[in-house]
Amino acid sequence: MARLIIALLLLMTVRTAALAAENISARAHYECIWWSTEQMANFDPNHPPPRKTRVRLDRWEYSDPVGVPHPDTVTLVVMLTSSGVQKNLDIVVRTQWLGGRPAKAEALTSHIVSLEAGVPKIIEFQLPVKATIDQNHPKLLRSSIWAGAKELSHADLPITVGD
Amino acid sequence: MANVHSPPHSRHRQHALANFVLLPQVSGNGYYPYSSTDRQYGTQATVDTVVKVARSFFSANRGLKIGIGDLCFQHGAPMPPHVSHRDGKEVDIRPMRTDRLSAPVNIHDAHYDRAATARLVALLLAEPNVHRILFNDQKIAGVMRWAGHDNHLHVKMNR
Repeated sequence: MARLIIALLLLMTVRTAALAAENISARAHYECIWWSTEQMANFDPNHPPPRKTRVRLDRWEYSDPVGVPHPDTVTLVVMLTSSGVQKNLDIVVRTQWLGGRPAKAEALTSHIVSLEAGVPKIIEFQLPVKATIDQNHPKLLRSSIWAGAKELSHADLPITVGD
Repeated sequence: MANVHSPPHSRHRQHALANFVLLPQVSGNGYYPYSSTDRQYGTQATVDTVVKVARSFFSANRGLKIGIGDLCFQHGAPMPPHVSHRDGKEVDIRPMRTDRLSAPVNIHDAHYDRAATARLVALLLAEPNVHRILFNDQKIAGVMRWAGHDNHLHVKMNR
């Protein structure tokens, strides 16, 4: 009897999560902190100024040490919206590296969020990328955003390493 | 019995034993470095070629300086995220800007100076030590198109 009750509770929890995820949408992109255009002029590579400018990152590229962003850590910015009220949703990001030497997929620490109906909420995930790019030379980072068992969205970051 | 085969790490050892020459870091040579000093070592011939071309360009273009980026580490250690840049014979050079700023530029920018960049490429190609230039402005003769080369010339030297 106890087992049956536990099974029913589990089933209800999974069903509730699935129903909740159906009402949620997500959009995601990458950003990083980099040097401003003004800082790049007459730049002293031996004494670089602090990076302070938040920029959108459409690709990670090492073709100029200063002129194009190639940060050690990227920020995945996720905007969530829901058509209904959502309490204590577990939003998880899974990263996948495509191309280059094989690298394992990672499940990142999740964010627990609550959403009001029609009110967008932005959450951010810090993704360290330097070690994997340096060692495996991948072509693409794909970050998938999950709510329960449903993939809400994903964001791709093309990667160009130096030749 | 001695092992007559090269060990798998022989290439790494060869690089590790290299002792390259630092590109002179003093001003007045007709160039400005945009990579840190530890990334600006090359073979003697490569460094000599860079200095010669920079001085010639500087003299012929009313004091216009060229930007020199990554060459190699002093002992040829891996330079991630570069795949190459280990044998001291490769150098990254910025295209020229119309506003003469010491700053990045790519071939799609309004400040990109094709004419000056073409003159720089011609000077480089006139050097016997220059083997190949990867760069994506196909309106400049003598360069080879290659992904990721809108904002720098990757110059490969012979020695």
